Amino acid sequence: MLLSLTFSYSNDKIGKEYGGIGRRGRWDDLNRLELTPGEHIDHITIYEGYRNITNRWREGKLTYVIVGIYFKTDHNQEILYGSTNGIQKKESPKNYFLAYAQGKCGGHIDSLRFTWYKYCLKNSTIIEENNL
Amino acid sequence: MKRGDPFGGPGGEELWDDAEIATLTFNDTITSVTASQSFDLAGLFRNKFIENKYSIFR
Repeated sequence: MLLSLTFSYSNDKIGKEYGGIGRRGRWDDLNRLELTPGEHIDHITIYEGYRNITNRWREGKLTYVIVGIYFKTDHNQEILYGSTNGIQKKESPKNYFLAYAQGKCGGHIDSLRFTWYKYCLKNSTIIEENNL
Repeated sequence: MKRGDPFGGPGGEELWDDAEIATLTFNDTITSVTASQSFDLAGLFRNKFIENKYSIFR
């Protein structure tokens, strides 16, 4: 079960840990996916489902959260955090790589949204396009 | 730039900090991802229950 998630960026300005339980005493703080220079995440699979978790907005009810997440890079590194016991959804836009993640969290990771940049082979730089 | 649809549910109070995201430029990339996790006992039981439930009708 995914408890908390941290993204670190090359500008060193951010890198907070999101999610609640992880900060209060995780019993299993596992792997770290380290990207090499020029390596990018180009595939994400999310596992989501209902869990009976403690929260303030739906007391005593099941809450729909992200229970697991899988990342794969363009250098074929891959890692799975949390559980695969949930509804599987993939995001892997062709010719794009993960730029950053945003989301909401309480006791667990409640939602996530990803923003992708397009590979630009011509100048080996990243170009911005309008939202697709 | 391509923005995907949100995953997960409507809950949660603490937002990913947009102000921090705003500090990123197009040259800034993700360098690492770390997570904490626990054993998903509830998920295992839930799946087991669903398997057993549907196995009745097989």
